[in-house]
Amino acid sequence: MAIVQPKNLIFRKGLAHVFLLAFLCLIMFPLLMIVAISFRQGNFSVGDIIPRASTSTLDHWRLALGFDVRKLIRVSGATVDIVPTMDGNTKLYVHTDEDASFRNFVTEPFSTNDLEKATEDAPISIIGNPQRSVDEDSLLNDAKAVHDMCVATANKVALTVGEGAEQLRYFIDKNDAEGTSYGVYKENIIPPPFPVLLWLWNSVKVAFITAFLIICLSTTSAYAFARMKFAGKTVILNGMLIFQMFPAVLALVAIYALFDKIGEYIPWLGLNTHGGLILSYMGGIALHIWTIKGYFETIDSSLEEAAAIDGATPWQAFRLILLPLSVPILAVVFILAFIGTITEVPVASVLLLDMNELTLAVGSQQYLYPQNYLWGDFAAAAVLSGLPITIVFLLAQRWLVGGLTAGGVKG
Amino acid sequence: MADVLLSKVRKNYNPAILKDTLRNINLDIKDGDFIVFVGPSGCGKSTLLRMIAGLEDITDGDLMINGTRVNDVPPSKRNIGMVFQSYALYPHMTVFDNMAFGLKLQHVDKKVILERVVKAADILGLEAFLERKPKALSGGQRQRVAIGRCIVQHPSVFLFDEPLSNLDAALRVKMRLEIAKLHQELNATIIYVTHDQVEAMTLADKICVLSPLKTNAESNLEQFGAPLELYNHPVNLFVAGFIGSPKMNFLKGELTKVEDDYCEVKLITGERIKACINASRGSVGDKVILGVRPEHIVKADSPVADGGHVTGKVVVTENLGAEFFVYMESGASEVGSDFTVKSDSELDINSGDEFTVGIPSSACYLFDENGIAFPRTQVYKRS
Repeated sequence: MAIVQPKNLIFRKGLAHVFLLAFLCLIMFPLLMIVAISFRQGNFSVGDIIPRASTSTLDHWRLALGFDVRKLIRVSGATVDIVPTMDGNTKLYVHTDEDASFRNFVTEPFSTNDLEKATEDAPISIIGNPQRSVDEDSLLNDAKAVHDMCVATANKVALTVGEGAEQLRYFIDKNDAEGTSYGVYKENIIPPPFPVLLWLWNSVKVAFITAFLIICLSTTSAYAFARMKFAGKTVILNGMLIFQMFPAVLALVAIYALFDKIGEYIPWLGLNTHGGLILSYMGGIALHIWTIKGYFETIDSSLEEAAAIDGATPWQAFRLILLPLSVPILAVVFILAFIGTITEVPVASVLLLDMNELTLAVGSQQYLYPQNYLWGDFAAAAVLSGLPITIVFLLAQRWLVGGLTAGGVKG
Repeated sequence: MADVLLSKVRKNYNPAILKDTLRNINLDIKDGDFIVFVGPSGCGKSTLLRMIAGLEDITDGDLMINGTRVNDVPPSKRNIGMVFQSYALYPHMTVFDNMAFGLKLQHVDKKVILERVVKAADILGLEAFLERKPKALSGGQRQRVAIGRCIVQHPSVFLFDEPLSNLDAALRVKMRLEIAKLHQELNATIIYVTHDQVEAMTLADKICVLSPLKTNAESNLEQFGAPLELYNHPVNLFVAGFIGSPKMNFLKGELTKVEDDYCEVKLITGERIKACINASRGSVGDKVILGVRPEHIVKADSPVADGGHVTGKVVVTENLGAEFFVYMESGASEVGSDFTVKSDSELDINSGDEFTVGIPSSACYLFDENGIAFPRTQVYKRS
């Protein structure tokens, strides 16, 4: 089978391999970078490509997936001291001169025995009373005891100040990994800024419905173009292709006005609805029609003639003979339509207005505003948006098979 | 089982251009006949078949199947079965499903479907392949499945569109016999399109010869008749040239003598040939074309060479073992190697030699200037 090749082919083959590998790296680089950024602490676009365990964090992912992120911010210069009470219990005294917003507080007395029940996952709360001064003499003033107390309470005891929504929680924690000194930390709960999962769901919903409707529309019209004779066929085919050459972006204002008007009569197809967005996406089927038409034309029309003689209606011939043979191209068109829809920004950004209606591609841009580029959160959302595409592709792959028409006709 | 009647059928693919593909086709096909359409490429034989099937509309004229006009009846309601040149099997279905497809669409009872498919498979020797997809079948098996798909529907007319042209030579001979056997078993009306003369001559009860339509011709149906009638009594030059292989030799000349049961032709080379032809329609001096089949030519010294002789220079000889062909230049038709001789015995001649052959007077055909045949008074029998 193999053709005899000259000797220098091995060299050229090697060169081609090197080139392709380099090309592959070039393609993979942005993806790796996005993944790396999504694991990086803070929102920095530059840094290591391979995330390091010590500097990595899941915070961006937690935010993207809709979880709160808890951060401890050190209260600078804050010291802890112990105030023993008459009945053998303990009070903690926290004090700083450096932080103007925070002076001091004294906790309610608690028993050291209670601390044994506390864990990091379920810290016990002790109420602290702010702006309460303590007699200097009542302090224990024993560095060793204070250190022991810090070790016992670190991350296990929440010192709460205030009540209800304005309640602040403070924790005692190590200042460094070894735990030579302890400081006071203010707990900061960051809620997810945007409903990323909802956006993802919107994207998947819109993309699935659009891809499905595009398949339905383009197969039926491609069938007409491939098999039927009617006036103006060539003109329409070419016209579709030419109109498709103008990007939809150019017609944004028209699309906006159009859907504004449609919405007055059919609310669920108007602005700010997924129905309207899907309807606008249905306009982009010209290329899919061409693709499917080309495939239909490779299928011998004698198959449908045979079906017609067997008593099939044109619809039956289409559904029972032509469609089963066209599964590979339908899968390709479905994937293309799905990807096209999920990554589409301009039209969606004009038609969708509510935060909760946005698709992920549009929504993730909310992370990037001139004063604050939240690269980390953006990267996590971006990786997330690639997920449905990957899943759809993997699922559709089993349909991407060749040779379906083999044996039917002598070619 | 049904009669098929075509009267004044015309087909024009593109009415904007006044160029007919078929014109004035009149055929009366009797129940149980095996009809073969032959003709060179582009003569419209497949079109005619597709018109009978209902895959092409009929521009003008009537098509009657079993006495009913079916011009506007869709294919599925015409009670016909068709075997395509390309088989046109449904590649995603098993052999069984391929054969059962039509019956399933008609919601025939499952038991009946099974019964009919199994019976058809039995006739065609396909029992072992019912669960296979067409991909896993050989060419001949695929063709049999295509035939089986017709049989299960019990059509009254079978239409075959060059069914054997995709098979190799050996298989073609085998399938040809099977189709002949099938015709005997089913005793159905069969219309069969081919460009292979051997298929036409061996299978047909009647052959219909079509020619590419000339602009002013009345019809492109040249002749419709039994195979031997076409061979022995072609109505015109086209049929004479088309039926028979190798092609009939045509020699130009003019009538020099016209009698009741024979005539004499002087070829442009000067040779005089006596032919058993009733040329009373013409008169002395008319330009005519004399036809002789290569297989009827005899040795110059043969006692049956009573018609005359033709001499020419040998261009090529072909020895096929069983047959020996001589292609020579006689100069009687103003083209290169214009004269073919078929001999059963090996001849000791080489290219470049002068070669003289004899022509039996009863083996001659004669055509007038317009290519219309004069009636023959005798038919040559090879001894």
